[in-house]
Amino acid sequence: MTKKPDPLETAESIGRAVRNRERSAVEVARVFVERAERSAPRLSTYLHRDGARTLEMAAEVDRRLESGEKLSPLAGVPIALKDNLCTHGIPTTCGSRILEGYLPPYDAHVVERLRAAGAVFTAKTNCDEFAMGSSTENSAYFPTRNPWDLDRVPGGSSGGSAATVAALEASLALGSDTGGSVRQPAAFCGVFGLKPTYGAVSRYGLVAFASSLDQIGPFARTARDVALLFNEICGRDERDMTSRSDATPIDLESLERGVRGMKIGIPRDLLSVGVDPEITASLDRVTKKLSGEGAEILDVTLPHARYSIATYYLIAPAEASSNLARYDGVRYGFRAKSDDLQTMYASTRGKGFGREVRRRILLGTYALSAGYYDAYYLRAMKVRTLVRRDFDQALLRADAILLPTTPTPPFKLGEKVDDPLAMYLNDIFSIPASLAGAPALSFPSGRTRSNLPIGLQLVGRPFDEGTLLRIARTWEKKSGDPLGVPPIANGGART
Amino acid sequence: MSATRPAPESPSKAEAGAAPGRYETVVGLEVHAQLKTASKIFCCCSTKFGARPNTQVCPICLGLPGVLPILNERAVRFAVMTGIAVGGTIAVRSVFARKNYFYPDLPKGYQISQYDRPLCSGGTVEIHVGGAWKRIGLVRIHLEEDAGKSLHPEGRQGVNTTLVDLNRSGVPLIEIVSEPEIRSGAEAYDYLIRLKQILVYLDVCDGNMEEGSLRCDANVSVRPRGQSVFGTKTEIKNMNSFRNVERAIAFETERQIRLLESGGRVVQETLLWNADKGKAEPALDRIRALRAARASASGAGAAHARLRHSGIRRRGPDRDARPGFLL
Repeated sequence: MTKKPDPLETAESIGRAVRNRERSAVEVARVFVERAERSAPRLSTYLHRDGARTLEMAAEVDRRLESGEKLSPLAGVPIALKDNLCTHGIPTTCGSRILEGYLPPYDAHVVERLRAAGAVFTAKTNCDEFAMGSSTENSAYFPTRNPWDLDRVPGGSSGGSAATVAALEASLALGSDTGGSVRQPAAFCGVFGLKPTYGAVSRYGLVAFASSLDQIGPFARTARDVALLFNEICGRDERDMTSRSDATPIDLESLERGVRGMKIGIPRDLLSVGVDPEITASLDRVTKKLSGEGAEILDVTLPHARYSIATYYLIAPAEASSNLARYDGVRYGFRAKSDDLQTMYASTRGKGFGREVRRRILLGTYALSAGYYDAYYLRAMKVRTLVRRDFDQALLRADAILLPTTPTPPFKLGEKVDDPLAMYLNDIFSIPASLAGAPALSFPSGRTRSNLPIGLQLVGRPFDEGTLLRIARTWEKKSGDPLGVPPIANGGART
Repeated sequence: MSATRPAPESPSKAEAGAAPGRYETVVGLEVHAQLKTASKIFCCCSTKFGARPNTQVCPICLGLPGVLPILNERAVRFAVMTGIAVGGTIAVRSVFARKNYFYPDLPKGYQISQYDRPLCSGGTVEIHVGGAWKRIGLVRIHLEEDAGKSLHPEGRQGVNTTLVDLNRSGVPLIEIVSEPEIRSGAEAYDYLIRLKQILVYLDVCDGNMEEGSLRCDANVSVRPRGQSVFGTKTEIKNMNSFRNVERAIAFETERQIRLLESGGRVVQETLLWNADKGKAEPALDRIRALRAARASASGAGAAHARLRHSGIRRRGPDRDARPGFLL
């Protein structure tokens, strides 16, 4: 019980110190809780936070260690959870009015795993309503701000999780990624964000948006920390028939082996859609560095990736329209007053859902309706298969594909809210891997001249998250470009 | 249009006319059989009948946010056994789909059922009517989950109250769809008796119509003898015994003939059998509108059942051992 914990320390070192009883979980938790109390009101990172509960969880970890229990590397590590992960007795709203006040009677699989591991929960983080959005502006409650520039969005939909890790309010966080909702906010906030292979992490207790695309993924400040959190949540769970035993923990030391002999593909054809020059420059810098470290850089093509957005905006809303049918005001959540059943349904859903959610339910219902099913949904599923084959082909030659996470740096709040298409186009580089079900990692590659984070993305073969983290770890070590801390986390007064 | 109104007279009076002889009745039956599994189709809750309302429920069968279905292997096995017993073709790969509609006793807003890739296609049930055997073809047998039960108790002080019991939500069902090859209420009656015999013999369903473990809807139409095109059909629901199925078909046959004979047209609609009055009445608009389901074969969240051929042969009962052959 000696030195004061430094929140800049990695989750790995915090966990080690707590397990070795060099410091108490309570001490660690207190530092993060105090930090969140200072910065969170300005960033609006969370929808629900209870500092006393966080300290109580930490005290429980100390008691368990005291009694001789062996805990995981995450013991005592403060972790934030996106508000679409069910937490027993803790509000879970998915950023929606329709679930205001809803208390789940059970824990999501990942939450259960983290509790068992001795992790300490800091907050339920803000997100776009039902994870539908790319800026966290679609939260029914308030938008979250980017820690690097409070006038800009943190990305979305897991914007609260990304911002809370960037601002050092939590050491790690979980988000969910359907078309880029972990990777894009990770890039915008300058942290690591992994979308695991579809099936690597059980979705039990993740409130469904588009079931064939949704995956839970970690946010962290180092590649090793990403692996640490991934290792705790991956693998087969009997309650999710799509979860797979192929997803096995990553050996942390394997991340240190460098990239010599590795083949890294660049999809030049896809990049022609238009990328901010500073992001292109960053991509070139990283490519050069990895080449210098012994990686072979080659060109790959993803000819069908350009159809990804159109495909995604048929498949995801179609699935969402069905998944969100249960919010009808009958059993839980918000219910609009009315005299008969039909009106109750209509006005509960009309008032309880926000614009973007209603838009997608309508799109999806249309795409699935009789007479249009073959022309839209079925056709989209066929294109999805072509996109998946593109990746299979490219990854026969390359061990991983390197491309930007987003075409632009973080945009300003309000800049795209009235233009859904422009908002959708921001996901051009993240959606293809979602359709393919492939693992994809966004890692911080530098900052723009105006000090905004840039993220690059690595996409790999199914269940080969380890290779992506190894490449990112190599860049992390050799870049000489520390992760950086946004002014707000330094107690800076910039607003 | 008094002439088009359903006749209140008893069936025997209608048969007095010469008209029925010129017409042929065409009936297809949809039978829902609750499978005798200990637990529900997608969760571990008990399927026991008669428990206090909402005591056999969990987050999965309540359809709470975030839950996922886990397919009950025994339910699949029971459905496969039934498929083999009727000589159907078992699909090695069959797919579940969602049938979306809003109703208070349907907690997810969709029913998990099967759409374009059912577990079993084809097969026959042999019936014995008028001293001769006849084979009734089956279209398909598919697996699905049952919905909860809506109860409409007497309103207090004029307030209409609906109570929902979700104990039944998620109980495994097989839906057995016959070809429109049944030609009378009597044939329908014998079909049901023999189908029940198969299900009870296989021990996959207890066949109790009063408790709802066997339910039957009938699609009924008539056409002039010799005509190959089907007439417009109506669907009759709410028949709670085999005898009532027989009576309802007889009633509906005569109503349709009477209608056609008087120059009217049959309207495609859903009718509810009223056993007390001995007649089928149009379903309330409200129910019809709400039940107008939109089928969507969304692969998402739906389980895919994969079976191994060898497994089906080994575990399935011997086709020759079905009760029809033993009799």
